[in-house]
Amino acid sequence: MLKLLKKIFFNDLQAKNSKNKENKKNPKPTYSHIEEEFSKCADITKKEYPQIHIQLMYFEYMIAKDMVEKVLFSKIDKLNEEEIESFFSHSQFKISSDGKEVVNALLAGNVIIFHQDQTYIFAAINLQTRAIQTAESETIITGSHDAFNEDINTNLSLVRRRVKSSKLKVLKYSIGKITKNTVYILYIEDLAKQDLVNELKNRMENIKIDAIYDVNMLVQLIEEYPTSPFPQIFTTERPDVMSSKLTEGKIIGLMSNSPYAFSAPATFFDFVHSPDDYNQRWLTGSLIRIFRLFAFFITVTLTALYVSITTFHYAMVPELLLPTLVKSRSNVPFPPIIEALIMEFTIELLREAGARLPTKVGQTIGIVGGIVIGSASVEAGITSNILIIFVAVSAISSFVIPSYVMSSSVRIIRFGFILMAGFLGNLGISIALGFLVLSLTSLTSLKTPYLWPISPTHPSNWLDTLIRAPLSTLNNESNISKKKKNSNKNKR
Amino acid sequence: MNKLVFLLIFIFFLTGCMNNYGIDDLAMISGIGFDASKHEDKHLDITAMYQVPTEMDVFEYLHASSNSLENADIEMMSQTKRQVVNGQLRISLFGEELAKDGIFPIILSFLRDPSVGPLVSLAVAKGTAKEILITKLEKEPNTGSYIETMLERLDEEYVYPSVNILQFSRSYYDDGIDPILPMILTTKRNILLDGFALFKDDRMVASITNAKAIYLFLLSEDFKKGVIDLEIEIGGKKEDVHLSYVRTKHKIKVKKENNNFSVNFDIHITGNLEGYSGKQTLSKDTVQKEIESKINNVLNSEMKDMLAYLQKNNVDPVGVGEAVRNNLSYNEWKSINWEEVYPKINFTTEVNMKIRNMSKFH
Repeated sequence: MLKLLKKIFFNDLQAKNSKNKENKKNPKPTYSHIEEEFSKCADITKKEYPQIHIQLMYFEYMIAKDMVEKVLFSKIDKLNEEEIESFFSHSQFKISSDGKEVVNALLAGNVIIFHQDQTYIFAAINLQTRAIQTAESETIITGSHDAFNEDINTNLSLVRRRVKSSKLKVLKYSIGKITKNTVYILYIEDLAKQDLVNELKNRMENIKIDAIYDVNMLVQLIEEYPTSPFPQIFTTERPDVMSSKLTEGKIIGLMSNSPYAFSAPATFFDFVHSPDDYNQRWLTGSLIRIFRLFAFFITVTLTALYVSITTFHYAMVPELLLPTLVKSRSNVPFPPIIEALIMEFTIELLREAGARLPTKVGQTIGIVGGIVIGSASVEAGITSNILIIFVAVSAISSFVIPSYVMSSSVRIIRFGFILMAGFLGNLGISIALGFLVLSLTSLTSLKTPYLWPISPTHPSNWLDTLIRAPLSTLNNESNISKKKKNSNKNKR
Repeated sequence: MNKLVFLLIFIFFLTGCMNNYGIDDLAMISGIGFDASKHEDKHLDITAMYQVPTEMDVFEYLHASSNSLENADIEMMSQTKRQVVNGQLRISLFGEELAKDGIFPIILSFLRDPSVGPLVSLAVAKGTAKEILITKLEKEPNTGSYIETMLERLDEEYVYPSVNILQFSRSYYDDGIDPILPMILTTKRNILLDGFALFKDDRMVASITNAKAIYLFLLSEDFKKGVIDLEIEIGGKKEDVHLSYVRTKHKIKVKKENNNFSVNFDIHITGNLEGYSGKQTLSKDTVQKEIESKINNVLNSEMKDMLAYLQKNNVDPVGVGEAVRNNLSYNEWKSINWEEVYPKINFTTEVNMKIRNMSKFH
């Protein structure tokens, strides 16, 4: 049956492909061919100057109108037959004999000029973009506030103006058969390890996908473990973070039409560090960093601990807390695990609702949710108020993690922990923690260990992992993705 | 991946046989008491108290008679709709009569039970344990927890140690020291500490009062706390002395002369002289010296009496046996009959009292 279906479809596909192939023969760069290529495109503009045999073709909304008017149209209007040759010998006119190139150039927003048998491409791209705005999803208090936007050239300039070095190399790729997104891979030549660069190049070249819209999608195509709950390549919308990753010897990527950039190889700690750590005094930064790691464990285990203690380990409860805890549980009709799952689910829904709704309505949802979850459900005896405190604290802790992708991952893991705690108590939590550590340590990001420098252990690099030591000690910090320096070792 | 899926399925489905109770379905026993039973075929009368989960500060009691703690379970279960558990046990009391019979089988039951921690306090009840547990205190409905807190506080603030299962069983198994337990008395409206019970193995053989107990603890441990009240005679008048912030250090020296042991206690005490009913001006050095020497005399004679009393009852809560054992080889220690040697030991005490400072106004 399957085979039959396959056959039918496969044959069908093959037939389609062959037809397409006939059509897909490279069009000649002549006016008629290009015109046929863009048949039924109502938005294309064609201009003709019959006296001097010149035709123009362009998308009006993609070109810089004033410039084209001044430099091209007004001049062509006054041209004679004899002057044409010399006019088109200017460097701004690029002769092309490749039909595909012409099509792509037209799609990118250039003006195509046909003169008898010659085809010229006139660069006039001017795409409307968003202005450079403040970072939306990764706000910080101290430090620069600009964020990447959807225009790749702007993004590139945001990085270039921070890293002023000729050693900053840029590779260009085009990803997506239909979307044809430009991807720039950036690295600093003397800092990044060449074999990692080559590895990333390989992966970029092997991407086969029709359409792609964001860096966060692209990242899932080039990471090693797509099934893991944890993101293995760091993405951010902050150019300052990306520049610091460059100087750490990492490789970064930008993509057109995406306000995000990625950096590889990433470690787990990239996701829990924030630029604020560096902009504040080192003591403050270090403490906040330690709190954040605490928050990671709290958000994963706190609700699970409530479940395991109220289900199995009543002996662990301190004497003074016991009456309160028991009293709050006594009206609840569900076993603790069901109660906790209901609450976590509700909180998750609230968060999702807040994310999807427009801001004005979102606030209302927050208030309603707060009242419903906070007091009404306790008074109704659906949950105990102590659980609400636990759930709220673990929810708050999950928002402490700066990377949104990572905090989502952690929130998903939490459900596994709650289940394990409900079935096996503290033993279950230990097993789940074991699995968590195992899965974290076994991950790699671009062939480098995910939990570096904790595992494999390199204590000399802990100064910028668990804490943030004073900046003078961090200068010349070695890094797993950095090339080894041969001379001037540790000269300060 | 398949293995992982299997493992998860097993984890979730193999737990089906376990009955878990929510914390609000439990009768968590906070205090338990054991008395010698009036029944002919039963050995123990057990009284247990637990908090009613749905009510604040309401306690219920379970009563059972059986030969062991484990066997009392069924009888206890039938008295409540809740699951009876021992995980929140704070204190275990033993009636005086039972304590004289021996209490270690019960301690052993506690040691076997994984839900009972080693830090449960133990005490001997003057009269019966039941009386004490059912005492209704005015402001503290949780009698079990109250007794435990009281013993803890006495341990922290005064020289009276609280004893838990771990300490009791250690002393019981150690052949160089005998266990002691605090004794508790109820006056129908209050519960108070009333001396200490001295054990030989696991049988209570004698008791000492609170006032005399101080001399025992001066001999057996160093402390940095507490208060000592003494009566001294100066110029033919009896005066009260109250020492606070006491620091003590004790050293036990053992000498062996052909089969006779002589043990010397060297005790240093420093403390603040806070209360003094005498008329002398304390700021004078000579007066201080005199008071110190008087205190030394009193303490010396009291300790001598205490040691004689211990020898008479042939109990060794001080741990003289440990000190002697540390001075001998294993074979030598095994060859002597400690039971017979102990009453014949010649004890000497040297007390060295120093007044550190005086009260604000004297």
